[in-house]
Amino acid sequence: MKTKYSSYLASVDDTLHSLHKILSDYYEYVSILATDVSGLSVRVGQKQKSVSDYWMSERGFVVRVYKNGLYSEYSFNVLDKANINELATKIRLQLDKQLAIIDRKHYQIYRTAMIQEVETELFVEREVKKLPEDVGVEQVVELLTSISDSGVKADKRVFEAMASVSMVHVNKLFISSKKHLRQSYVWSEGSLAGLARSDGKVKMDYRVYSGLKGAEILDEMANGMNEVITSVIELFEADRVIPGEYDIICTPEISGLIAHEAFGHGVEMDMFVKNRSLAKDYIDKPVAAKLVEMHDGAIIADNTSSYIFDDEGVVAQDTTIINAGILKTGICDTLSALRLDKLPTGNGKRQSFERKAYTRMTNTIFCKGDNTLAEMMAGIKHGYLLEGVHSGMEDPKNWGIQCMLTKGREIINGEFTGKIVSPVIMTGYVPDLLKSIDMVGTDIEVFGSGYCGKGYKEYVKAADGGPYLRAKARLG
Amino acid sequence: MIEQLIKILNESKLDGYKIINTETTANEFFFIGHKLDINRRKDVNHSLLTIYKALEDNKFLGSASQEIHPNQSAQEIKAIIAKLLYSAGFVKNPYYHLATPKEVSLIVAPKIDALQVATDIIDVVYNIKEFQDQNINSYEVFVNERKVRIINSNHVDVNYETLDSQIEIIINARKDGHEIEIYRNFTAGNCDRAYLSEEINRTLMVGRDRTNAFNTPNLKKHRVLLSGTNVVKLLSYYVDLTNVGNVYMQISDYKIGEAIFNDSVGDKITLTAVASLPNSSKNAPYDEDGNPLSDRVLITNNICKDYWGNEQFSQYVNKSEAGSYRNFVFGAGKQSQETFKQEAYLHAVEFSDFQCDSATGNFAGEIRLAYYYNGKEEIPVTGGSIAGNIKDIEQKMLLSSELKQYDNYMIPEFICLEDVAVTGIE
Repeated sequence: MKTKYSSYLASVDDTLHSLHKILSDYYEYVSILATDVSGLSVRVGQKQKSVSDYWMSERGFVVRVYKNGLYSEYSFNVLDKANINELATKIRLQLDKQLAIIDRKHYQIYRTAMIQEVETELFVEREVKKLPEDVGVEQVVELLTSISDSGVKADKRVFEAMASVSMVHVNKLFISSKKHLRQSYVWSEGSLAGLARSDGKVKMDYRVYSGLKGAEILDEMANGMNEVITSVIELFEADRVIPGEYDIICTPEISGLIAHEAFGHGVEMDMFVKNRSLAKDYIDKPVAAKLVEMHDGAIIADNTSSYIFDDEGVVAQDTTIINAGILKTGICDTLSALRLDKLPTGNGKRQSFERKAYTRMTNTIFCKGDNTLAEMMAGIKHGYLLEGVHSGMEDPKNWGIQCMLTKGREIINGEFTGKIVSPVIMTGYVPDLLKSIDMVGTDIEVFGSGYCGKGYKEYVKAADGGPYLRAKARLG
Repeated sequence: MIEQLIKILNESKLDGYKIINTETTANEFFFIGHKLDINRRKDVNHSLLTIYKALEDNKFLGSASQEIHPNQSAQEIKAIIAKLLYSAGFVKNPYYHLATPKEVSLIVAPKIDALQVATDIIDVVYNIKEFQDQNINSYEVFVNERKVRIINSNHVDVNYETLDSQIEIIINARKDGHEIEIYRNFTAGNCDRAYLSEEINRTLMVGRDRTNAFNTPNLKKHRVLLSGTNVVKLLSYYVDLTNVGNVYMQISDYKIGEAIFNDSVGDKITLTAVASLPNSSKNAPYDEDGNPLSDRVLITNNICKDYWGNEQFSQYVNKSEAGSYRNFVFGAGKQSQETFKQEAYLHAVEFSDFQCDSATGNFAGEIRLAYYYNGKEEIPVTGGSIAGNIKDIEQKMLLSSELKQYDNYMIPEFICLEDVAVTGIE
């Protein structure tokens, strides 16, 4: 089923072209991004239900202008078609008012070259199996209620089991003097979570689902709660890991977290511009074991960040970040590319039309290898199979990594002992971790339910993944 | 647009509605070094509409919400209301009533020029004394002026204006060709020049110490001191567990009149929710339901006295007055921070991302800078991590007698935790 392009964006196309034309008389370069993102979010637990718009739904505009080497932006969401001249004047006056302060204080400008574009016309309506609007709210609530009910019935220690889903329709329009780009696509994400209490202690675990898909995601979630509850209950038997360095096997979600935190953030090239990334000095140098290959790109997977063009009007690509253990290049937004004399890679993303564009990840993925899980386990004398992502944090300047994980399953002499450790904090130096990878699994899984921040703000959808990986890491 | 929306709502057959309208004007400046990278201006208007539907003879109250965009026509708004009303029919939450108007006399804060606040922040950063080996890498300044209006079908119609500011700043420090960075994100109301300047200067020194740091020793279980915003993150656990949402959901087992934990041999927790703190970015006279906020004691000497939270969950736990607070004040401990430092300690000041999970009580963080005192000398250390569970350490937790405000939290500046797992990298 085609995901139909926004009738609202279609209705303002001419008006935005007029605004672009008026502003172009004053500025050397003008682009306009218009967004119309809507979605249905349903959350069902034993104690509480909710139905709402997707929390990052948006409808608005951001104008980017360029003059005398400086880029400025104006975000707004009231568009009066009859008074477009007044809007153009307001944009000019407000931005000039800001620049008057910069002038008066004699602050310097970080001068940047003007964006050069080629003529591009694009109109894409992507397909999904089931459109979200074809499934009634009643049906979604009913399914999620039955999933939640099954969770609390599974074990008397479970006091809450939550099921939630968001189905999101993204529409974007990009206009510049040479580009007219329109895209429409749907992505969905779901989660199942269980909470249990025993002896005054609360344990929690969850499973997530996501993809460039519509209501078909509900079919995938239908039978997932049993696995969640089993996982929650076994946390009551968990010990703390004895701190130290261990052989580890990363499940694909942990591999994805490492890809994202270890080298994803480190190769965001706006960090190169600010000299905030060590990776800048390691291009064409070994940073990982030879069997490691890593890519980022909106076109390399079908997940929640798989767009046709980015928020700066650059068509999505596939960037090889690490090839045979060698760091090849980073990912880049348009302005950083101009400053570094590189080409943009289609990674300029905004949290919404209200926020600045930065270099951001899309699908960041370790490529597959040749090893089975059994082969990986066979060589381990004492180690852990790591499962469950809680959070991660990067340090691109020093290549430190922090991953908060739900649990580790102990392996001794190639066999699971049945012992579990939880929670697990994995820390280390990224090249040490990546160079220690000695086996790579055969199948890739991609996870797109998370939100990625730049520092502690600018949250965007980003997906990551990979196969099972065997490595060495410090656990605490 | 709001008046048109209210008119349409009043003409519709509904059991209730709530609108939160927020008009935001923002001035934003982004710097690389001290050069302007990009400037941004924002003028946006958002209206979040919630529709309520009584179900099964008022046994349940269903609700559904969606944003109404400024450019939507009357016909589109009517279609959205019909859709929300339909959806609300499947959301069977126990019945509760919407907030009702309450008499309150407000002190209207003087209007502040947001662009001037942004200019002041830039000015502070510009005038920081940097050093050859410690300097400002980049910074981003955001100042938001908001006009908020909350309206519901029970005749609540309140409005207020706020101003908040944020600066994200990156500090570099280097030694022997090795460079590190320190990240800071300061939020406040107006620009407090003295505070901001002091904090940035302090961060430059943190950067210097980190470049001189040794590897963190493997201390296994050790006495750990936390300070500043890391204390905020840890003590937020008690804020979260007094929230009616968590009480109702049974994530919290705190009961009014009972101790939040027993067998305390350390300092006891005292916590108050307040409507405002000096220059907090979260000051507002009303909560999201339109209820006026006044100071409320939540915990006194470990005894849970009250809860806080929204109208719906407050009614579910039989709390007579709702209030979703954004500012919190913790009581001080008995001893000075200097007393904590008389025995061996690891004072962790910089983490990759220190976290404390309210549901489980687990806390952890990778150490980017700590000061290790072995009983003889204090040295800066880096690497490794700390981890624990708040339920295992709260009985012996000590709070410093010195209090300090971090935006919307007033906290003991230091806390002392016994027997925390410390993973070193030696």
